[in-house]
Amino acid sequence: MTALASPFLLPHRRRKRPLDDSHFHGPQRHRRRRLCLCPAAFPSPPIPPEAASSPAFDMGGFLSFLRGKPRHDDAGLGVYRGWVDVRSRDLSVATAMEDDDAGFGPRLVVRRRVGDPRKAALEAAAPRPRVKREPYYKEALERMRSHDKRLGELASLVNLEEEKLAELRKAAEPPKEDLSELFTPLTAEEENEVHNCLFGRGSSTEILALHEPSNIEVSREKFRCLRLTAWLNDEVINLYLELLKEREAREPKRFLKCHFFNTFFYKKLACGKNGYDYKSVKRWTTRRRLGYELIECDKIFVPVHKDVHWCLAVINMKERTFQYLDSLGCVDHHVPRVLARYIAEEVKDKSNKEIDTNTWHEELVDDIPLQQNGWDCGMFMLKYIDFHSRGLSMSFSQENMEYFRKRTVMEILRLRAD
Amino acid sequence: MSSPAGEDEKKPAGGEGGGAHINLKVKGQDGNEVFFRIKRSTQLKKLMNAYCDRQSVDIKSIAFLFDGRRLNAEQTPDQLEMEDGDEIDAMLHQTGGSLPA
Repeated sequence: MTALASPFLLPHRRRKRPLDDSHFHGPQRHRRRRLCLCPAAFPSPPIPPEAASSPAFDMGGFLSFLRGKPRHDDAGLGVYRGWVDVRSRDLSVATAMEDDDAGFGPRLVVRRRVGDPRKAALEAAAPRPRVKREPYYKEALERMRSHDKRLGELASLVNLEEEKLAELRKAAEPPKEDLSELFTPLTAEEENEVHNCLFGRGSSTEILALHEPSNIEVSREKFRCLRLTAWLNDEVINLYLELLKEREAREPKRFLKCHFFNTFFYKKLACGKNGYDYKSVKRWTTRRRLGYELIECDKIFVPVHKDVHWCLAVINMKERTFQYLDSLGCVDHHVPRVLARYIAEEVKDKSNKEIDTNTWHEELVDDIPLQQNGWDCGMFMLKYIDFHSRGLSMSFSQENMEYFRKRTVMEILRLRAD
Repeated sequence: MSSPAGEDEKKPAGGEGGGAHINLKVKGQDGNEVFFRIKRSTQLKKLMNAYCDRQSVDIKSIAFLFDGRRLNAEQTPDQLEMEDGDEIDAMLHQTGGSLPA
């Protein structure tokens, strides 16, 4: 019994070792130590006295088995060698049994062979789940990580969209508010008032608007220039410019600091033998008279009258630019040059400062709304000034002129521009 | 051309008399200058009418400015703190719609 038991246990150990070695390094070391202990236990079997060659044979097989592992690390080979060892042991035992009782020997050998394959199969199958499990965890982790990345991307996308929406809202609100103020419809009462002013009965010399600070009077006859197809006159234009200045003084935070020359300024400046005469306008802009100096302004508006056409020149102090706006799209390089000379001389005279207008830009604005008829240049000029004084882009067109004419009548009648 | 108009000379020899009067120059757009001598307390209406009569133009067609400001016909040199030799601009009224088609 003991002889049968000992070879039965050894094959188990040998078969397990290669599988463990291939998958775990730590346990391998421990089991290697056990392998070292096995040879010591082996010499103790009682069978050696009966068969001297059998123990020697077993020792050789065991050693060859050990050598085989480090060379190939082949689990299959290890199992095979173990099986071979088992066979050799079975044969030796059978021989011994035959000597004593031949009938029992063959039976025992057959049983052992059948049992070994099953165990080997089970042992071979065991590691497979382990192999699958580890990759599974890794895959799960990777999936989670990929989800995290997607979430991060989604979060960044959401942030971007929110920022865009915020920008759109910011960009949308202010212009809408300002533009709505610029195009506020007239009430029925106001429409009626305008109609009476432009077409009502009454003496043509009747003064309907008197602006005392500027001594400008507008009679019924003068108001008629604001009818649909009429040409604007200087009374209406100059009075409206006075109202724009008062508006700015009333609400300095809403409007740029501007100076509005009247329609006669450029005519005086550009007169004389050489087409330039600073002396004739020198006293127009004293601090005592204006309350400020031109150098303090953001923009200076200079209406330019050319026989039958109104244009606008802007001395843009803030952007160091001379701008020329013509609702017919014409170009004039002379006006900016005259004004460049003027502003340098004026700032020197009033503020005792030097400005080098040679470094300024000249902008002949070509992306402005243009008139589409033969009578609206005066209104276009006024609206260029109005929008510019608010720091807005020229967001109007020919189709707005009818409304603007009526609105201008209202504002002059009330002596208040909004 | 440079002779005073619209106002008779009184006490030409008296220095003190000059104090009550003021010499003003009206300059047209064409550069022509017309000189007037009026009392400091006289309304500018008188000067304006005299200038237009002399130039043969309708008073409604002229805008009178002093240092860039429109003048009121009822204002006086005293109110405007005018000084001897000051210049008044006579500007033709302007209108415009477009260049001829």
